[in-house]
Amino acid sequence: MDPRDDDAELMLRYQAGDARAFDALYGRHKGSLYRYLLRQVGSASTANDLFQEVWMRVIASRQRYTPRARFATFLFRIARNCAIDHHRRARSTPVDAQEDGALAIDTAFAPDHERPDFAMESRQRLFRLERALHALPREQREAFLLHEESGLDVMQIAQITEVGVETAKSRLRYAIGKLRRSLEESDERVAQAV
Amino acid sequence: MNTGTDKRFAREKLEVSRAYRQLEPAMPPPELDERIARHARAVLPRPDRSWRAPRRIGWLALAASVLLSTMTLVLINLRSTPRNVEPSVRMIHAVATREDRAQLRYPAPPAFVTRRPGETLPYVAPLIPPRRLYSTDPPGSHRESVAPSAPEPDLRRDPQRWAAHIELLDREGRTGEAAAERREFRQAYPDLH
Repeated sequence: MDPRDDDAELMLRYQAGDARAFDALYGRHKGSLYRYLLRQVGSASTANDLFQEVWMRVIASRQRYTPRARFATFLFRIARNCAIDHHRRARSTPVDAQEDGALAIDTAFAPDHERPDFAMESRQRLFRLERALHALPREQREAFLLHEESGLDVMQIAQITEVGVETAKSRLRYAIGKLRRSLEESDERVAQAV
Repeated sequence: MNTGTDKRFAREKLEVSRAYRQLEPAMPPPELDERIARHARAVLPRPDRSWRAPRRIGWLALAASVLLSTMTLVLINLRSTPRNVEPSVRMIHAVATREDRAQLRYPAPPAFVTRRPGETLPYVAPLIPPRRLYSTDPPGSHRESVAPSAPEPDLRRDPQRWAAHIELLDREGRTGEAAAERREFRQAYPDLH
């Protein structure tokens, strides 16, 4: 166990029956995990379901848990598996349902009061970033979100996504490059408008 | 990848990361938090005895207080009820007078009464019945056993008792009184002396 990883210590305490340890662990990771799932699937209701499923799996696997790596690696690996299962299920669902999901993405990411028509310029910029994030290929988005939300390095991202380190690094570079371009485009539009 | 590209990438990453941090920090709904926390507790083993102990102590305290109140009520009732029979022997505090002590000796009939040859006087009961120092009677009943001293007229109407009284005066050394009584006795009953 990584001596710096007191998350693993909390998980071991929960394994021994300490419910407060779970509360602490949950409090530390709930935000980042939820945002990772929300921005991966693009729908708040689906993100809620997946979020609950991830924690249920963590709870169910508490007896088998051994701190071989950082707890965040363990947690986000489960989250990724849940998200992949979701994508597989979504592929087999009818087109209408998928369109509903796409609609949900738009409403979840950009409520009316935050649409570019109504919001400030900075809001427009963030909205473009969010759209660009969602427009990324799933693997690149996944690499970026894992990097931003879980705080894991490229090697750990490679472990979770079960690819080589160079592949993980490449996905992250592509994702950041595309997002950077979306921000530049937004800045250029603002400059032109001025 | 050369150093220039790495520097540019690091700069872009920082810029994108900063912009990403400005996005709305979405959080799970509170009901989801509650549901997960409840489930996390539900799967844990049941609480050990330390959780049950206070409940059991509460029941014990309740039972003890009920028992104590009942016992207190029973004791109060018992004390307020008078005891009919005292099983043990109880001491009666009584002071015996000089006459009582004399009577306790059960004196024989006085000799001067039996003047006629062959005639014996019947047994004379004591003027005051002997007090019992120990009794099983209820408290206060010893007062009833204390007989008042015989009134003079009654004593003088009964020659045997009067004679016994004179004899008693003699035995107690009250000879003057005994002689005076004897004189009166002979005047009242000249045929008996």
